Amino acid sequence: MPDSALARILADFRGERAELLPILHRVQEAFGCISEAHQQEVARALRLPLYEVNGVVSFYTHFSKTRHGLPLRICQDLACHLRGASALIRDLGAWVRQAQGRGAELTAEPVSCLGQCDRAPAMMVGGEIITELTPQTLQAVVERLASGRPASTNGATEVGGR
Amino acid sequence: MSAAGASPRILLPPEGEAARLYELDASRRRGGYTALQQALALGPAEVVARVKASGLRGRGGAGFPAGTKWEFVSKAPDPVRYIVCNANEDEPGTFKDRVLMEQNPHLVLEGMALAGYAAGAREGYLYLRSEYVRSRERLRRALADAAAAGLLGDRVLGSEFSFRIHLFIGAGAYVCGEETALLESLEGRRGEPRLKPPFPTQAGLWNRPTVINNVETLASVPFIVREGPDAYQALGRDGQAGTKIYCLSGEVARPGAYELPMGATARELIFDHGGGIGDGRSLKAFAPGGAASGFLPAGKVDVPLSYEALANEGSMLGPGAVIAVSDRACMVDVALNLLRFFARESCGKCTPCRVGTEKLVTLVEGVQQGRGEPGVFSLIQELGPQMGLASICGLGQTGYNPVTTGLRWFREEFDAHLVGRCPAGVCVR
Repeated sequence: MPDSALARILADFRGERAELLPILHRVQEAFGCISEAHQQEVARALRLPLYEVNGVVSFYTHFSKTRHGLPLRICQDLACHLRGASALIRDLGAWVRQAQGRGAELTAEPVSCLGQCDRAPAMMVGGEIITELTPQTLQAVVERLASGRPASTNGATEVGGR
Repeated sequence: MSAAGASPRILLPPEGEAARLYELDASRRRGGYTALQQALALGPAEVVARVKASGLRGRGGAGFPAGTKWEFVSKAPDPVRYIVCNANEDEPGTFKDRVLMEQNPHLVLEGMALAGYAAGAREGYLYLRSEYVRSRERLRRALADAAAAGLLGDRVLGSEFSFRIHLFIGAGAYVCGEETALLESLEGRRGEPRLKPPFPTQAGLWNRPTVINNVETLASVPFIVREGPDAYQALGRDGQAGTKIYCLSGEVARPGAYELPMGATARELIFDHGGGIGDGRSLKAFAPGGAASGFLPAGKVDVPLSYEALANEGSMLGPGAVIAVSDRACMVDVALNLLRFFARESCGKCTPCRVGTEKLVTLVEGVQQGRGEPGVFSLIQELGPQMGLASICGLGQTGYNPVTTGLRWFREEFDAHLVGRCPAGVCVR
């Protein structure tokens, strides 16, 4: 049974193999995941076997098969590590668990380098990059998100840095 | 801001000047797209000749001569060819392409158009990592503005040359910075590297001859075409050509992207430009060329950050990313952090890399936790180079460097962990 929102996304494409990643980006954005049903419909539209679509979905870290709540992606690599990321990652885990306990749909997700090494430590939430994190600013980000507000106070796409 | 004074910049906006070069008008006031105009009068062969003569080498890490790549594709029998700009900048410590695309996106697009003209391609793809939100916004606007002004698209500047650029967004995979993995990803597949040969210049995107260059490489071309190869050569130091955007990160006072003459030293970058190591600490080690280059001790800060000089030290320039490590850090901990990155990002296609990166993490975790067996270091020193020989792509070929260079220069710190002691007091158990 075709998902009508997904059918509308697929209608924007020609149905070529090379469109698979752009399509999956749209599906991930619209549904917060790419479920098996989504994968089947995408596979049909592109005339690909399901395993090909599944293989691509599972390869790339920005695609997820199930919905986990909003991921708080925090960098764990060297430039951030040298500026205190390991302690921040421990703190983030604890604050997110507390927020989950209060019903907030958030997940802590340590990720690979975000390319913000000049403004370390850094994280990404939705389309927003937040840099030069301290325990205080990180806790404030979790609090704002847990109460349904944007990650940063000014709503800018990039925060911090020079 | 810099104590070392201004050095010529051809990529980033002039220091201290609020040049909004990401806007088309401002870019054109400073000569944007004049090299493209000139090229259309010079002809493709002359553009290739200038890039070859300039000595420009790949700024993404491999250091391959750009003009040679362009020449291969320009002479390919297949008339359908592609240009790919590699903007999947994912290596820890590297962010220069982000700064360049944010501050001067038109320079990158002009470089792609020049590559298209020289190599005889009508289409180009810019593969951008998805986390670069501002780069994406700036590039989207730059593409629209350039097309509306007749600088891209059909009949560029009224000529017979047509060139269209597609912006393609990646989905979170370091390995897609490897050129053939990037091509797989562009074609809608898992980003797993291809066996070479054939090289992308022979059979690249959809098996067509393809030029793949890094962002900074392409952005260097407009200056070369406009000012000539000699002027470009003269920008570098000690026989090195051009400028380099060095990334400085880690435990320094002023991290950032600094465009300096190619061949500047780590001392200039870390101390003159970066303000040195703060808080009364001192420099212990630095990665001269990103995560894969491994480490050099502080005593090597006067080595030029160039392809040859770093190769002579058993290291590499890579993308030109210096990560500074202070005496507060533990080299076992730092090496382990980088090994975990490579293990996480290994695509799994080839066994030496898939198993080797995991094995190194397990071995060094054991060392860190005081469980290291006496023979562990010789095992690591044997395993690393084996991965280097047997892996398909650069990830497995270099991903062991953090620990083998750590052992080479900081053996006493590793030895101390075998008897349960972390000299820096970082590793807890």
